[in-house]
Amino acid sequence: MRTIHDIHGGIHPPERKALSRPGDLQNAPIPPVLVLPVRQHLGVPALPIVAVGDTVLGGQVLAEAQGVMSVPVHAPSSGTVVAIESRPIAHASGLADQCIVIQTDGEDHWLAFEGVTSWRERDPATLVERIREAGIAGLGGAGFPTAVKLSPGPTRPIETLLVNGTECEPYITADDTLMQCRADELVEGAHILAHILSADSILIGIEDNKPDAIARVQAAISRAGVDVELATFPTKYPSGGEKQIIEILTGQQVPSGGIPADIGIVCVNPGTAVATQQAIVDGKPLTHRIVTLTGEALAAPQNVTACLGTPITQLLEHAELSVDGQQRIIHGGPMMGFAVSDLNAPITKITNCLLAPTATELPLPDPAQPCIRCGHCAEACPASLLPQQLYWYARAKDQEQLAEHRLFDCIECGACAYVCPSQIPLVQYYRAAKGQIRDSEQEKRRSDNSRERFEARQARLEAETAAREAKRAARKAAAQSQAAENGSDPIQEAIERAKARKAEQEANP
Amino acid sequence: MLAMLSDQPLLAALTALLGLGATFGALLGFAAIRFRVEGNPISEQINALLPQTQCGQCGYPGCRPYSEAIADGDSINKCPPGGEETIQALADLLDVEPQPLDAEHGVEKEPVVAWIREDECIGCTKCIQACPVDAILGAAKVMHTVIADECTGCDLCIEPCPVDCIDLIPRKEGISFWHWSLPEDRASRYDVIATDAATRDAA
Amino acid sequence: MSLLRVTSPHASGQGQVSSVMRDVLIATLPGVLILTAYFGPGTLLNIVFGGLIAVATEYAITALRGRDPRVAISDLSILVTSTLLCIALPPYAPWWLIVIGVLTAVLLGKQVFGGLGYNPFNPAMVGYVVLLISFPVQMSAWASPRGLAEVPGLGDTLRHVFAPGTIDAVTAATPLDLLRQNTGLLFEDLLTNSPELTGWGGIGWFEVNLAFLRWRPLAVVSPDLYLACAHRYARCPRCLRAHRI
Ligand code: SF4
Ligand code: SF4
Ligand code: SF4
Ligand code: SF4
Repeated sequence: MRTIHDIHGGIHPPERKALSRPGDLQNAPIPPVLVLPVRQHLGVPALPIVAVGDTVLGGQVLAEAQGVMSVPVHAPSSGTVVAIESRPIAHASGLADQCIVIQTDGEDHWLAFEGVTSWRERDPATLVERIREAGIAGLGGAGFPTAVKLSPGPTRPIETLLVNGTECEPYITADDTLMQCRADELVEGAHILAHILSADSILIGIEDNKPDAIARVQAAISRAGVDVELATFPTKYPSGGEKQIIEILTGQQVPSGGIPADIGIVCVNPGTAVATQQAIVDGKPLTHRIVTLTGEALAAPQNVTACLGTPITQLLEHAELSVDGQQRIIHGGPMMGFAVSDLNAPITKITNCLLAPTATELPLPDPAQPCIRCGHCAEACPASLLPQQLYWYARAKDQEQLAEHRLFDCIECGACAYVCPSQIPLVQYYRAAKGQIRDSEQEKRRSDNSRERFEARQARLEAETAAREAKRAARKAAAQSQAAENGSDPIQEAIERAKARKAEQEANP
Repeated sequence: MLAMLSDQPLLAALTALLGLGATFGALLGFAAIRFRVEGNPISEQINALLPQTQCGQCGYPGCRPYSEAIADGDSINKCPPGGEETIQALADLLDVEPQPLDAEHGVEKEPVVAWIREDECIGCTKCIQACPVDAILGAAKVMHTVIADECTGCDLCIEPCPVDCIDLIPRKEGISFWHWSLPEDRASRYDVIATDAATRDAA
Repeated sequence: MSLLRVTSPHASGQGQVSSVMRDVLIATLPGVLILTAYFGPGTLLNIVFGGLIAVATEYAITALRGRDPRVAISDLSILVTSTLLCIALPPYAPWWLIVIGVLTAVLLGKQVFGGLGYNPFNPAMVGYVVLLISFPVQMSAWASPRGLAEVPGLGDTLRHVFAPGTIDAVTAATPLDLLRQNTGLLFEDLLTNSPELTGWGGIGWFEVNLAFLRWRPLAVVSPDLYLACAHRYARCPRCLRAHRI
C-alpha cells in the first residue's frame, strides 16, 4: 500500500458533482455548424490546409501542425468548409481567433482509419508521431501538446507514468465519467504511454470521492491482467494540480520552475490516455471529447460526448438552459474556469465543463475590501506561497519581490481567493502580474536584440565610411606620386581638359 | 599637551572628534581607491533601460547617444516609446524625481511594426537606408519586406518611401498577447456583456 | 439574456471580515473573564465604555470621509481595536483616559492611514503607547487583585471611573513595578515573600498573563501575526490548551 502524503493548505468547497450524474454518458447531437479554432492547444496555431468550399470527411486534417509546439486539427464530422475567418472563441479575453467553419451535411461520413494493435513492437518515436498527427493535446485544461510531453529528452529518464484522475474541481465529472465508461481504453492507453516513455511503473491516482470510477478502473486493471497501481487519496481541492498530486502520491516535490519529468514522472489526464489509445489502436484522431454540462440553471445537467467545435449555445440548449436576465456561463469549473463572453464560441480540446450556475448557487462576489492580513490565504495556499504578500507586490508592480516570493509557482487554483474574508480577487492580481512580467521579459529580449543590431549597423556604417575614406586617400596618394614622377599635376590636367571641352561646346553648339 | 587637554575638556572633545574624522576619512578614501569596483559606466546602465527603438524622437540619433546625454545631465523624460515605465526606471537608477513625459517629443503609443504593401513597393532601397536596425530586407528594384521580429516600429522608414507603401500596424494584437489586467479598486467585480446569442440561435 | 464576465474563482467561502473580527473578539474572552474574576468589573466597564466611544467615533469619521459608516461598523474591526485597548488599560481607569486612548487609536492609529487594512501599526497599540507616554501615573495604577484588597462592586466601580477621587484605596503596584523597585531581595525571595506575588494575587497575575501572554507581545511587534494567532486560538481549542500550560 502506497503512503499518501498531505499537501499544504487546500480547501473543501461543496463538491456538487452528483448534479451532472457522473457515469451516464450521452451523445450530443452533431450541430449544423462546427467552428474549429486553429489554436485549441498551448503553442503555435495550426495552419489551415483546406479552402472555403472544400468538402471534408470526418477525421480529415483541416489544419496542420506548425513546428513542434503545435498539433493539427481534424474535422469531427463530414460537411463543407464555409469560412476560414476570425470568430469569437472560448477564451478569458473574449477575443476572436482564426477558425475553420464547417457546415455539416448530417451524413457523418468518415475516413477509414488504420490502427496498430501490435504497438508493443513499435518504435516509440513512430508512436509519438502518430499521437501528434492525431492532434492530441492535454485534455485536462491546459492543452499542452502531448507529443512534446512524451519527449522529455535523454537527460530526463522517466520512471513513472502518472494518470491524474483527481478531478478535484467541484461540479466537473467529465473525467469521472470517462473513467467509468472507458476504463479498458484508459488502462491500455496508459500502457501505450508508458511504453513510449519506457517508464517502469504506471500509477493511476483517483480521489476517494469517485468510488464508481475506482471500482471500474480496478476491474479493468484485473481484466487486462497487467501491472498498474491504482492509488486513492482523500478529497481536497486542489489535489489535482500536477505538482500537488505528485507530492500526495510520492512525497516528492517538483522543483520550483521545473517540470515533473525532472523527477522522473510524466503526468497525464485520463482523457489524454484514452485519446492516445484511440489514436494508436484505432488510428482515430481527436475529434470529440466528454464535456460536463452542469449548474442549476440547466434543467438537464449531464455528461455528453460532443464534437469539438460545437458552439456552446448548442450544448446549453441540449441541456435545457432556461434563463432570462443575467447569467454567467463558466468554461471549466467554479474555481479555475473563466466566464464565457460569447455563447457562439465553440468548445475545444480543453473544454471539460460548461457551468451555468444560478445567482443563488454561486453568488456574485461583493466589492473587494482591503486586505486585513488575516493570513487565511497563506493557510489555504497549496503551493505554500504568501498570497497576501504577492497581492501587495502585484499592486505595487514590484517584479523583483514577486519573483522573490515565487509568483510563478502559483497554480492559480483560487484557494486563496476562496477563503479571503475581504473577497479580494487575488487570482486576477497574480494573473495580471504574471502577464506583465512575461511582457517585460519579452520587451527586454527585443530591446537587447535591437541594441545589438543598431550597434552592428553603426559599426558597419563607420567601417564603410572609413573604407571610403581610405580609398580616397589611396587614390590621392597615387595621383600625387604620379605627379611627382611626370612633373605634372593630374588634377590640374583634368581641370584643363574640362575647360577645353566646355570652350569647344560653347564655340559650336 | 596632555595636561592642557585634560584641563580643557572642550578642546579635548574637539581634538578627539577631529582626529576621528581624519582617521576615518583617510580610511574611507583609501578603501575607495583600493577596492574600487569597475562597474558599468552610468551611460551603459541608462542605455540598458532605454527601449532601443532607435527612433530619434528624443532628439538624439538613437538610444545610445541619448543615454550619454542623460549621463551628462539631460532630462530623463524625452523618450516616448519608453513612456512612463522607462522614466520610472531611469528615476530609480539615477535617484531623481520621475517627471511626466515631455510631450514635445511625442506621446506614448502602442507598440507597432512596419508592414510593406509588397505589390506597391518599387524597390527603391530608401527605407533600407533609413532603418536603424537593418530590419528591412531587399535589393534595388525588387520588392522589399520587413522582418517583423527585428523591426522596432521606429517610424523612420515611413517618410523616405516615395510611394507610401509602408504602414505601421499594432504589434501586440490577438490572443497570444492578451493577459489579464489588474482589477480596478472599488469597481464592480463583473462586466455585463449584452448578447442575444442564445436567444437568436434558439429562435 | 446577458452574460456576466467575472474572474475566477467563481465560488467563494463563507468568510467575511466580520467573522474574522468576531473570532478575535471571542479569543479575548478567557483573558477578560480572568481579569474580571481578579479585578472586578473594571475591565468590563472599560470595554463597554470604550466600545461605545469607538463606535461613535468610527461612525462619525467614516461618514466624514464619505464612506458608508454602517459598512465600516459592521465589519466589527472597530470593536476589536477598542476591546484590545481597553483590556490593556488598568481596570478602574478614569473615563477621560479611556476616551483619549480610544480617540487616538481610532483617529491616529487607524483612520488617518485610510481605515481598515491600511494601518501600519495595530491601532489599539498606538492608543496604548500614546497613553503610556502621556499618562504614566494613571497607566501604571493597577488595582490590587482579589485577595490583597476588597474588589469593588459595580456601583463603586462606576463612581471610581466617572468621579475619580472618591475611592483611593484600590490601587497597588503591579508585579513588574515591584520588581523594579525592589532593591535588596533576590527574585525568589520576592516571589515567596511579597503578598502581591503569592497566594490569590500571584495566581491572578499568573493567569491573566497566561491568558494573553502568547498574544500580546506579538501584537506589539506585528498586528498581522497577532490577528492571525488570535484567530487561530479562537478557532482551535487544542492550541489554546497547549499554549496555556
Ligand atoms: S485572506 Fe484576504 S484579507 Fe486575509 S490576508 Fe489573505 S488577502 Fe488579506
Ligand atoms: S491561487 Fe496561487 S497563491 Fe492562491 S492559493 Fe492557489 S497557488 Fe496559492
Ligand atoms: S526616443 Fe527613440 S531613440 Fe530616443 S531613447 Fe527613446 S527609443 Fe531611443
Ligand atoms: S522597418 Fe521601419 S519602423 Fe521598423 S525598425 Fe526599420 S525603419 Fe523602423
